[in-house]
Amino acid sequence: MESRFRNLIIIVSVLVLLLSIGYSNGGRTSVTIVENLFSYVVIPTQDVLTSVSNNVTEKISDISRVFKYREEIKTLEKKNKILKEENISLTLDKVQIDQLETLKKNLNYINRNDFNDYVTAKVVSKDSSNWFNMFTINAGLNQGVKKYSIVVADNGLVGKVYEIGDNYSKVITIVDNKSKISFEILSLDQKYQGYIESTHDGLLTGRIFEPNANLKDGMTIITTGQGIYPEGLLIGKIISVIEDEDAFLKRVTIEPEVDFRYLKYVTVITIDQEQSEWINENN
Amino acid sequence: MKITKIMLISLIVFLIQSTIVQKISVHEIQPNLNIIVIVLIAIYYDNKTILVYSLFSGLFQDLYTSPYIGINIMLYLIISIILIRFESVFNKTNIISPVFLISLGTSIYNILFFVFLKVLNLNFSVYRLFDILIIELTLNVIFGILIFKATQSYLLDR
Repeated sequence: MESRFRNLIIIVSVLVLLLSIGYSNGGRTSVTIVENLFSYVVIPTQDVLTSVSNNVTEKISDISRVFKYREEIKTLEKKNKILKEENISLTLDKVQIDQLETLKKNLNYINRNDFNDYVTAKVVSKDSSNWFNMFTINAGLNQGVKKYSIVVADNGLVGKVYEIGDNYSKVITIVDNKSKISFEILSLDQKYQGYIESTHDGLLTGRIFEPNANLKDGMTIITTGQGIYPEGLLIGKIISVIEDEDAFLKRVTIEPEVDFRYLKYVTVITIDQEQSEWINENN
Repeated sequence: MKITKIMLISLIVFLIQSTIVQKISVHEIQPNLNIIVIVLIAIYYDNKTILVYSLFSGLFQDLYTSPYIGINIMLYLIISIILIRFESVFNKTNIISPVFLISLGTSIYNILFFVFLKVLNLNFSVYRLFDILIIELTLNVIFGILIFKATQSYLLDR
């Protein structure tokens, strides 16, 4: 009788957990009150622990770099010389820019900027399972972040907000297998488009729609504007081109612009509630 | 062990795992402290403690760092139930016991995780599974031995 009861508990628990996994698939638009309450302890503590471990890691890497400093000084001296020369030519250009600014004001020109609303947040923790490329930031609904807000860093695309609490958000990166992105190759001659097929070891594999595309290593990859990511966000650059004769399509390996291993701060481009709900319904 | 004490331990382990342990990764693969602690609890404490610890550690991980709520709870509970079955072969002083159990727990966790992701139709290659298994298993065993040695006398005397 007792073992029957135990088996029943196991079956019910498994079913509840499977339902929970299914329910949370795709990320929730809001979290429970208990999660939010706990997050007021969890997120600040993670913030402190991450800061301490970041500082320790930096100090250790500083010590290991001491031996390289001599060579770096020589390189920097050379760079300094070049920069001094560039500075002179840029000063001349600045005079022209100032003149154009004055002209712009006189013509009542309105500056168009798609990303006026943004929030800077700190990466406080990362997924521990080794299976997902996700991290948690210390900004949420209270800071104006919404589900599907775009996350960028170092001028490159990082990912999107997957799930959101009052003062924290889970961010899914572009190197996660759950991310689907369409991209185009930045080229003056042709407009080649493709999509990210898979990820491995922090690199992305993309398929190009044009079978005869003239591709080279080092070409820049940006977002197309299809899907949730706005047009023109820098994804990375091609590091190798693979000919796939069976599929009649070319594949490229892309190195992301952002180094996800050392990500400490990110910028979240906020969207309004209506946009977030629209994406949620159509995704 | 009292439930509040187990909950506090699982919260502390989760906080360390999601922050400090991230810095000790090899090829971006980090050790899993929860599996190590589950094994230590299985060796030194009763069945209820190991199940409650698995529940809370999985819950914290799912709520604050994972895309699916329930996946880690389920996997840690499965590992715990299997470890309970192995209870008769535990040796509290021999290092072979934790090494074997940590290897078993890490393998079950990652193989089942891979199966779950395949069921959810996510594109993960079997090579990724091998990478994670080899590196995480090695790291877990190294850290497991260190933690086992550091806590052994305290846990035996309690």
